[in-house]
Amino acid sequence: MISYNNIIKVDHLTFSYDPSNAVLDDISFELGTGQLVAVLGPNGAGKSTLFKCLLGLLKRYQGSIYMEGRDIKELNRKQMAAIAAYIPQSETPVFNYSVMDSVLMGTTGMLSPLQAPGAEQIEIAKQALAYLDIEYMADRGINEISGGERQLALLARAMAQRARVLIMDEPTANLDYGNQQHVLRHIQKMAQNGYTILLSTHNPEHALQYATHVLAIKDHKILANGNAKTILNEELIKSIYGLDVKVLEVEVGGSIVRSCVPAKKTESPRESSR
Amino acid sequence: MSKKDNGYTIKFLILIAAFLAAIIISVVLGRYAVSVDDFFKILWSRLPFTDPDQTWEPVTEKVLFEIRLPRVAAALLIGASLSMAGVCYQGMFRNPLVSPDILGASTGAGFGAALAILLGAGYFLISSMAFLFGISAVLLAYAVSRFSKTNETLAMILSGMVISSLFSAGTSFIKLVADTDDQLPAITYWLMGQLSSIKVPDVKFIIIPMAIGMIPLIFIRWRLNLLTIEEETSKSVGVNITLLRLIVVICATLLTAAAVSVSGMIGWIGLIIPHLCRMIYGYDYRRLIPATALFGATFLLVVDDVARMATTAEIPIGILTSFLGAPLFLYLLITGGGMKK
Repeated sequence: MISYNNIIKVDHLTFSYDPSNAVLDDISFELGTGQLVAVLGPNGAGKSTLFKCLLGLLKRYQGSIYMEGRDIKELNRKQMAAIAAYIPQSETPVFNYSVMDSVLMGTTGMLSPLQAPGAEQIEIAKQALAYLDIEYMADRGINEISGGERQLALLARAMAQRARVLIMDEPTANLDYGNQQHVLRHIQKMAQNGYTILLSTHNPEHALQYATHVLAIKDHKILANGNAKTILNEELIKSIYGLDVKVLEVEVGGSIVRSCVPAKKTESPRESSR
Repeated sequence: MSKKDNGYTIKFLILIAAFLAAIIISVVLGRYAVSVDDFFKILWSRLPFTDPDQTWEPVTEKVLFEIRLPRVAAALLIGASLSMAGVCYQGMFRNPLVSPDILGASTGAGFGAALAILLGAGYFLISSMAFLFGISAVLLAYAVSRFSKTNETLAMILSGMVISSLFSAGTSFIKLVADTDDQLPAITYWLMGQLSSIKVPDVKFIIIPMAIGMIPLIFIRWRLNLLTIEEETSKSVGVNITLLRLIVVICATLLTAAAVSVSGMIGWIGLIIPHLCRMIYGYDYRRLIPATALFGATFLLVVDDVARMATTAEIPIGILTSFLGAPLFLYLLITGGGMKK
């Protein structure tokens, strides 16, 4: 696998749905391979729009986006799928596909239009399931497993896609506490194995615990961008959410884990978000 | 799909056996009975390089080729077409309650047929007008939806509803001004849906659009699965979802419009058969497409046998499918069969 200093390079990205107000205003950043990037920002800051631009779902932006050194505007859906995969917040399937069928959908990009997944794709899907320790649910229906399991199945689908950049829109927002940690640990493992992961979250604790890099967006602009350990602190969290917090360092099993709790005096987040 | 077969092979073999049995029974049964023996002998004699002695009545051969077989073929084709169109639209609109006329193909065809009858057109022209108006209604609905800024599928459903109601208003107006002695009954009877007037030319008329509709769907059937997940996900997986939807709309419209143009409105098939097939054959379109085609064909053929033989006067098949479909649908609705779980 090739390692890039800047697997993602976003250069003066500006996007607006209607010309009068920009949803993304002159965004620039670069990310290296294997980063687990927490994208933080209040509601409506432009996180989802940024993700859609990165995935090539929105193409009428100004500026440029390079992934693996290629301008994504020039890539078709299939080429794009080989680079970046998308993991939604949740998927509520209308039809009860088996987990295996659902994971195999990820292999579509490597197939010709009339081709169906064969032995090779089934092997890829099985490897993805094994990587996430969920082979046992291959034949279960996607509506019959828990929310946490379904989120892991979505990760498996993204792995089966064989893309090295994974873009996750609040992947743990609908999960209980235990499942959030479980899914995030798998995501961390994937980043350590060379996947570049952008993950939006509304929980700064997740960023403190798992992220290697933080990209904070506020009012459609980049508020902060850098190493999670150095830049993610009480001041940054306050300026994102307008909330006083205390960042704690706790020793757990020989390593320092950072977490945060809200401090007593709080401003109304409504006033401060603008 | 995965290594386990889940008994699908056996389930398909049973379906194929039922399909073949239904054909033989339907050919043999009728007011003029044809023996199974004669049926196979006549078929054999039509093959090249076979020259058996003619042991059957000439009228048997005539009944077989001019009445029985065209009707059986039409029932099979129409049943398969409506079911396939239904299963594709249900996936595309991510809603198991959708039927093939969601974009207005049936109401458009009904209007075309009513207009043709009003203008005193002949039988063939009625079918052609129905077919053309069925296609036009969907084209119109699709074009309108492309201008909408809302979600692509929602826009299609809404514009389909609007176009449908426009055409059904048109049909009502034609009924109002039609001659009450012959035109109005003809329109009403046409709209009920029946296969009694099917002749060889009808089968020739529908077979080409139906083949054009079915073949692409059979080839891309794996990709149809991708229609059922969120648009953002399916796009990021590498599918040109807008193109895929367009292909499905074209194919399903050809199938529906062709079916309706010779049979009139036959409801429920396109809604119920996909449900039943999902319960038996699972959700993967690789199995679902052949299963709905065979199941729908067999089902409509059997219902048509009942329609033509239950009473001395033939019952329009559209009435029968509604009588069967509505309670079956209620059953599925209450038990939740094939829906969420």
